Amino acid sequence: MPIAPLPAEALYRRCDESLLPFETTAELPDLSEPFGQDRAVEAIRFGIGIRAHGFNLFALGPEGTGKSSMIRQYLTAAATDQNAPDDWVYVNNFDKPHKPWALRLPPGCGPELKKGMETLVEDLGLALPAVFESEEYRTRKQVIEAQFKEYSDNAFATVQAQAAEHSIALLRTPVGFALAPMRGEEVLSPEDFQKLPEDEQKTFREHIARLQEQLEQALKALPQHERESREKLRRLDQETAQGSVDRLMENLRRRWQDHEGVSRYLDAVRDDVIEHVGDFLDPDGGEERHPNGPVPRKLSQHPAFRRYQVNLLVTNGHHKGAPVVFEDNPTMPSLVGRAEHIAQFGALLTDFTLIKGGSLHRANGGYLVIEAHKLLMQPFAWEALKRALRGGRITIEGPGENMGLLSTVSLEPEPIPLDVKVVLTGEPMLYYTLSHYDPEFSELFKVAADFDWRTERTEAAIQAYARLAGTLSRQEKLRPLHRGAVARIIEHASRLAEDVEKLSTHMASLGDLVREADYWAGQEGADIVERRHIQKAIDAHSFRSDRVRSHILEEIHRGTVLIDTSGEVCGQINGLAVMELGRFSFGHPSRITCRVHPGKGEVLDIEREVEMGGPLHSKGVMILSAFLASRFALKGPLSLSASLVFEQSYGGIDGDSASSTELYALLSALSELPIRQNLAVTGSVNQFGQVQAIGGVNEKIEGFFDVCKARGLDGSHGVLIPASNVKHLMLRTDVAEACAQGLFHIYPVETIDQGIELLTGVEAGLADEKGDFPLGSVNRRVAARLNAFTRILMANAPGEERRDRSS
Amino acid sequence: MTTPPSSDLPHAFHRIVVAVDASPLSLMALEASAALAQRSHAELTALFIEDVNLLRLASYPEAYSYSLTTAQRRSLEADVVAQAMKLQQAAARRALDDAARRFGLTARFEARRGLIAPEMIQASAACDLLVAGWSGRPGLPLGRRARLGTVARALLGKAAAPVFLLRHSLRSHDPVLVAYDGSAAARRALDLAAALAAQSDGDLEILIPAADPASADELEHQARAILAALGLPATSQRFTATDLAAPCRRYDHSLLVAPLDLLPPAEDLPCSVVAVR
Repeated sequence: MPIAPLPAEALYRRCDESLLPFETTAELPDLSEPFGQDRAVEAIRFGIGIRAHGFNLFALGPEGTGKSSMIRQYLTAAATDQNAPDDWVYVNNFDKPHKPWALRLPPGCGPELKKGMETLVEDLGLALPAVFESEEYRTRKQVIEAQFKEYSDNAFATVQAQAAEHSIALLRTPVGFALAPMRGEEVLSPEDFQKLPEDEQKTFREHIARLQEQLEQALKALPQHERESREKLRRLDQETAQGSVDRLMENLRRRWQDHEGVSRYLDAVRDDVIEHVGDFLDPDGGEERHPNGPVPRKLSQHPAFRRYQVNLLVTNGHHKGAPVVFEDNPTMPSLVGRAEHIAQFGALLTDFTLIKGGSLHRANGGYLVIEAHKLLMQPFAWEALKRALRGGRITIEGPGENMGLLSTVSLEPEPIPLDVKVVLTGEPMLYYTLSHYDPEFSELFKVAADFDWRTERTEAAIQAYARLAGTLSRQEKLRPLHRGAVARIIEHASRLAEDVEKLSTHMASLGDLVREADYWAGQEGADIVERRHIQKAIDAHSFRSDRVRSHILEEIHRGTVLIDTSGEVCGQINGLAVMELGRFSFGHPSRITCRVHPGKGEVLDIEREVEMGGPLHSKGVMILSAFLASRFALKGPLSLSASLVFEQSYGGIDGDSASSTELYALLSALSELPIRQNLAVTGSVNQFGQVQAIGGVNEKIEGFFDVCKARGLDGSHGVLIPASNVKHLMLRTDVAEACAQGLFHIYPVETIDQGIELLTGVEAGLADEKGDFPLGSVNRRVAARLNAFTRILMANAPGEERRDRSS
Repeated sequence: MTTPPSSDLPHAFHRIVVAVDASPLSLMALEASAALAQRSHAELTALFIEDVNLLRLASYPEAYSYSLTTAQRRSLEADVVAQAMKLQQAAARRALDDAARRFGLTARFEARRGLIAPEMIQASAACDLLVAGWSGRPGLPLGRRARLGTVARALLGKAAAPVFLLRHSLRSHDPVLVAYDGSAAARRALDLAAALAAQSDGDLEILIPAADPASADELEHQARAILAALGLPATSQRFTATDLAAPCRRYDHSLLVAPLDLLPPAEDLPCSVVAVR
């Protein structure tokens, strides 16, 4: 019994407007709950709630399903109820400047400490010079200096005086001091000396020898006295500074007395200021400032006092809850922070003031959201993030440091404890790839929020969808949508989901559709968005993306691409292919042909032979070969050689959705029964001859419809689809209308036999208990042809082989 | 402060002699002299004296010297001393050439052999300012030597011209202090101080001996009138006759100009000094 075409109502399920009890979406309340993502919502709530180690979140789902906005919504809500985390600052480690200290401060207190230290330096800069210019200090310093001067002068003066008593001079030579016998103011020449009486010469020599010894002793004692005097001066400076420093630091120390880390730091600051008090007396180190050089506005900014600065890494005083940070550029430095360098005389220098925090610092105590593919694109970033999460602390290091690539002097800042919930978002493929290849991934991201791309088309879902569309139009200040427009949106959502029983959850598409429809309503001067505006938006979007499709149609129409839509041809059939160009896909017919001749049971897939067919396509061809063999070669070998080809196909093809089509062409070629060219076919086949569902059914039907319509519909045209695809039909309005008018037909096919009957108009034929098919049936003709091939082969085979085959 | 042209001042210099031996203080003295010479359009002579006492000492076969830095004894060899003197002379000449080029001066280098003090006293007869370092001995690291060098001491006693003994490098804007007791030498000191202050752009401060208030007021009035006539403002303060050094201690760097009679023992002074006879 021939298969009846599908009724019009099976081709497009309209949205019943009675399910939408409103005039426009302006009447509807906002939808605060996410739409159609119950599983993901549950996972997000769990992931946010649990604070155990490794329970970070990976939100996986196709792009556009609203992952980011939903995560933002939930994280923001959760963060509001939490306490703001502590501030973090880096300060100088006076003992080991390359290992700066990290200080944790209560929220909002970082700026206070920073300001306090700036004020301290300013105060010290004013107070210390005044103290050191005081009469008291000057007098004490002069006493110490005078004591040393007196000692040194006396040491020489004593020698000089004793020398003078004996007419001996203490002379300064270019290489030191020397003693010489004198007469008056002149040194005796050696000749004159020789002329002196022997006794006098001897006396001179003795005195000189004794004085030389004294001089030597005096010179040797000098450095020790100098050291002692220096030490006295140093102690004087420290004592003088100490009082002022303690007085000026008193308030600061009292403010932070309960904070162990800051107290320890302030102790170190006090000792360092006292140790280096000279810096406050002469910040420029005796050098006059270049007249055109930059003049620091404040003393605390002066290079000599950088070491007392407080590097405010992160402050949370202005946050009411925990931070939620979205890192859009997740490079390694922007995640874990970095130590910048400044060039000075050709060398790159750094210190703790040049440490810059990363998004992990800003998100510490809260949440950090990163797009997974961006993270994985950045060198070292993924490893750095894992290292931080695994170790529970943020260690700032340069990208090359842990690999030993850089040898410049750098910093080893004290690591900061990390307590953050990281949320990665990404495509499912990324999630599965990471799960498979990175063992640490599963340990660190234990919660997966799986976003579905579709949901059930229930009454509640339809009404939620209406509220969602209304919320969107309100948020973006668009025109409200009439219920007819909403109904069309629902229908389009089913089309996007490729299922009349489902709705797409692709929020990006919904948003674009509403925005574009609003545009067209605006063009028309309408106050609300009507159904026709939605339709216009869909059509216009399709038209804008339509160039390639229209070119293909044009070439078919002009006869460049050979597609018959009338008549009957043996071994030739219209297959249907889907082409995807970005987010736009469309179907078009493609001619498949089959030629047969006697052979050794091979079905030659030409696409595969030239490596233009994918593995799924090859699989389909092998299945149809198996079906053929199991049906027709039970009593003998399959003495067939067949070749199958997609005509005028110049790109690769894949998928098994043409396997039933190819089988029809093969059966036609074997039975020598022509196939109707006003029909096109899609569907895969299994080894039992059952036709199975395929994807893109709507696009395929529309592709053939467009070709037929261009040539004129006469009621004979149609498409054979798998019966299991009927629930996926959400055809274009014009297609559905043509079908309703009897100009085009969609045939749901369950088996190959049903299909071949439609295509040839000849009964397929069921085998009787002997395995014979009814006379005149397709299958009988196929079997007969195969037998004929066998005979031909036997007649032409060598004697040995002929005996084997006949036995 | 408005600086009048130095040529209008009564004591612009015409010939300046500076004693150089390539020691750090003598090089500072050369620098200060060159600056003064440039602003006064004066002739500058750098005087280098080969010390015959030293040459004689070095000719002894068993002469020794003691290093100030290592306190070690070394044999003093005549050729080493001669060579060292040559090097000092060459360094002094280079320093003079360099200063002359930088200040755009015509300068003369004069080398003499003899006893240092007498040679310099002789040179002072032909100039109107003799400049020398406080001490030729290399300064000890801690502070500068308090005791005046023997040469400087002799110059203060016998030089014909005013003697400028430099203790620190001379910086612009250093204050110039001048002691005024109404004597002829004090009057010359005032003129000289006015010229130096004008040239260094430093503040001028008159120091009046505070013997009795009436005469002190009179002296101050005189000094201010003289300086006012030159267009130079000045501050003033009193000092006790025994402690002229006290006002100088208020400054890190200053220059004291005083009649020789008023000068305390030079060891007590913390600053550079110009002694006027």
